[in-house]
Amino acid sequence: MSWNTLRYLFKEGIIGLWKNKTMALASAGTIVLCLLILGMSYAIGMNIDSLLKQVENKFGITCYVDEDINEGQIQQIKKQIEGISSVKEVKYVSKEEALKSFSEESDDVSIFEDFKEDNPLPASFEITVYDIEQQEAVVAALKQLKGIEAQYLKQETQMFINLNKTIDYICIGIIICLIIVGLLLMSNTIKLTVYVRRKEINIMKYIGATDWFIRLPFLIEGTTIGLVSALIAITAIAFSYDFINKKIAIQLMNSLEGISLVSTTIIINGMIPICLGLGISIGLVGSAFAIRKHLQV
Amino acid sequence: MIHLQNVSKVYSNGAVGLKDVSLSIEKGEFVFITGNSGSGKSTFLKLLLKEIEPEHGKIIINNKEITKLKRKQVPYLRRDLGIVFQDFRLLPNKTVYENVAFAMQIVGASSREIRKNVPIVLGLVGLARKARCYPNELSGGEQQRTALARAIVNNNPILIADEPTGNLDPATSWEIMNCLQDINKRGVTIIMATHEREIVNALKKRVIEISDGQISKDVYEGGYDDELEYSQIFI
Repeated sequence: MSWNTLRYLFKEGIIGLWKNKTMALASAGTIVLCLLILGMSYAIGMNIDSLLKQVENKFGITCYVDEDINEGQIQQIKKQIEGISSVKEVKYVSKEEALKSFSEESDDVSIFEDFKEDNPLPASFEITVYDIEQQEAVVAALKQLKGIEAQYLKQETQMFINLNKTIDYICIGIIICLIIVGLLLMSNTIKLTVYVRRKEINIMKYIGATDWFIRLPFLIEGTTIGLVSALIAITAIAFSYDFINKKIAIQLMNSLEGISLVSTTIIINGMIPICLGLGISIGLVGSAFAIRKHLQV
Repeated sequence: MIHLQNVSKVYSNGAVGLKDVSLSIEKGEFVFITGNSGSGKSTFLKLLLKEIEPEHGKIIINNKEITKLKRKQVPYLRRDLGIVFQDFRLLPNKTVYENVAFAMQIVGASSREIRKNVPIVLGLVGLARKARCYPNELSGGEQQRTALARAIVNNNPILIADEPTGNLDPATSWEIMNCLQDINKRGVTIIMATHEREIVNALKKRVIEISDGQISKDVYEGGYDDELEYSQIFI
């Protein structure tokens, strides 16, 4: 195919868009809606995931230090704990600190004064792990160490892991369903646009146009529609997510301390490849499939 | 130019399109194909366009056996054949000029060639002034002349016309026939399927009549199948 012809076909594709405005708008509208719904579920999924992660971090392992351990040994034990793989952070809480926070939590400052001399609380290490699923392995490793006694919420952790997995599966399931629905909806719309122009295709075949000569303008049209729709969807998601994020963030700040929504940048960075990829491929593949039947003349 | 050797076509529903038809059409001829609806006229034209495949026999166009052509080569066959339909089949969202230019775009002509040839051909069919009109702004005759211009703009050696005057009034029909005769004088082989008795009788060209899938008459300088022969068959 010559350069001349390619240029012509490209122009035809763009002109075709303009001359078939209604159908192009219908297709673009469908893609935008599909991508919006997809973006919404993506944002919700990401947020649930991030919320769970944030809660997860609150699930720590507490290691009580035996009474007869001195300062030097504590530093040594701390190093050993940090050496265990998948341990994220180790925080040492001295007897005094433990008592202080206990008295603060129980809203009775006198407790601290009363028990200062004869502190019944043990010193401890607060350990957080990177992945909650590694917790059991870390506990097993901690049990090998002398001078400390590991404690953690075994049942609760297991429940949380299960909940986390279930939510992940549900999110993936919903997104896959949405992609399939979007593809079906789109291929139908594009089929309709091609069907409206089947006579045109038929005439081209009779004049002796090759399959690619007929196909290319349609593919360019489909791709352009997909690209424009993706850009619209991305912009819409960016603005609406940012808006919602700001509204909810304030309320979250007040009620749940330290828990925040995923930032707009992360959501949009994730959405850009998904929207562009899906939009363009839906447009391209949709038109390619829709036109196939009509080329058999 | 066009040779059919023992060509048969039976449709999947059992209807017979053509039965063992052999015929030759030479370069520069003007041939009328006549016959009743369902006689096999359309089958004949569709076979030439390779829209359908024959069950038996060979079809040779321009020294090429088209029955052996692969699907991918069909567009190149059709470029040798200018085609005109009863319903014009113009691209509705292109102007007269663009419709004709489109046929040249398909064969990969340069824009200089297109700018040179399209006005010439439009002048030939008398549509120079309507170049910027869209098909729905034209009369039937003008639309058909646009289709004619499109069919000859690539200097195709053969022009196939499937009832080109079927949708036109008698006066306009004659306009089209004059155009066709001009084109024929320039050396283009013309095959025209038609029902129009008067046109066939007046032009005195070769007439091939098809009935029940077979050639029932093939006369040079003939007329539309005369009443006499019909009465002999049916009474």
